[in-house]
Amino acid sequence: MNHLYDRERDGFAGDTIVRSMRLLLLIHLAAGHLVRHVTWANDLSQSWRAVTMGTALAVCVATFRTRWQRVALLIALPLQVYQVYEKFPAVANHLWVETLLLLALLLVAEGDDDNVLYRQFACWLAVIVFFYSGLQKFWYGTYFDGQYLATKIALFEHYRVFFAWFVPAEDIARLQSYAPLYAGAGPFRIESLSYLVVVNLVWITEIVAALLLLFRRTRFWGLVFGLLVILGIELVAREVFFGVLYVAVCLAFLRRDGVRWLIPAAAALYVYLILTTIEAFDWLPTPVFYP
Amino acid sequence: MSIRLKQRILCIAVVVLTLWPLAHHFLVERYGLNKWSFMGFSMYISKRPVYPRESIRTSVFGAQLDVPQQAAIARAILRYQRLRFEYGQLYDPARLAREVFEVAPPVQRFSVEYDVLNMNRETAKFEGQRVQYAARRGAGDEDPIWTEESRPVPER
Repeated sequence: MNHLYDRERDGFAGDTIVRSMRLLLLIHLAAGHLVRHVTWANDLSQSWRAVTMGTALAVCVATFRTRWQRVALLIALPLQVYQVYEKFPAVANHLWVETLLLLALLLVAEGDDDNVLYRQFACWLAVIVFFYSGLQKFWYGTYFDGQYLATKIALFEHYRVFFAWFVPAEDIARLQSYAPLYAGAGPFRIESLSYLVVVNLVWITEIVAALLLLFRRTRFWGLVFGLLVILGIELVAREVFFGVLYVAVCLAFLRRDGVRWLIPAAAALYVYLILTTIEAFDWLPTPVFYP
Repeated sequence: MSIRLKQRILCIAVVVLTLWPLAHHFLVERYGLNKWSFMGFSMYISKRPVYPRESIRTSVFGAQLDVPQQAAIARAILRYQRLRFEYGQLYDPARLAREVFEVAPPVQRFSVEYDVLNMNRETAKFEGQRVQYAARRGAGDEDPIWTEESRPVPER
């Protein structure tokens, strides 16, 4: 466990990452519940909406008092388990990561040993997710010729906006003509060299970041590459909630508590995104995002 | 709880998280499980299959069905499609027949036809399979008898 974070060798001087991560996760879960289960269209019954709304608000309130935060995590746990149960087996990776972090934060307290333990777990989680996300893309081979992302370009405007930098307009128009998909649609191939480089950099960077994070001497660059991958995901796929959470996980590699610097930015972003889903704030510019 | 026990629990979690994606890959390759699901960290690696709603055709024989029974059959078919996609060969298609005959007792036999579109990695084109599922009620307490076949959909 201590290979990725060693108390003596990494210069641990007592920190508050458990407390900060707990607060960030509570804000994240409350915002996520509000967006996914209340403000967005869904097929939940009225009673479940009331329960999720109530829980989300309770969690929101609890975030303001440190001593209530552990209780708030306990309140959030059944709701989180329910979400996993409701969606199983089609549970998104970020829901699994949320659940794992929630369980880990319920397990650890705030002492020095616990802070170190949380850091070790978060560091391993970051490495495992990066490594396998890249390796699975390599195994299934739909990034080599860019086939998978070409289907995204065909179907989603925000992918087209980003890839317009690398893909000729006629290719984008051709891909768009295949939507809605039908038997024989394609080929989902793009010859542009810059597109193929960018697409293949996704899985290569994920694997390289994981490997660099494994060794103390290369860890800084592993973190840089990892954060670049997350930035790329945000620019293209707009998985905002996953992005915030995963940046927080990666910050466990820093010697100091970096999560507390992330909290105000994350809270402001979530408030903004929640407001954009409410009718009264229709005038706000609404970005495309996925909770 | 002692710090040693906490460490042991998190250590086991890390080992499981490290080994599971390998097992996940094997299960996907061997049994056709959904790559995106089951925490294999393999989301966004291939386009999920497309099930055009308009391709679903259901025929029911035996008796007139009331609206709730028709709705229950429609729900059972959608659930079968979803679980077949998620669990691949680990899903038992007999469950659809059992469910339909349970929610609609007057039904003696039924069939379902639907298309599934998947991208062929080599040609980078979408290929369609038309799945035909048919089942009839077994005699007495016997299990239903069912068949499930698929054939290619001609390209447009």
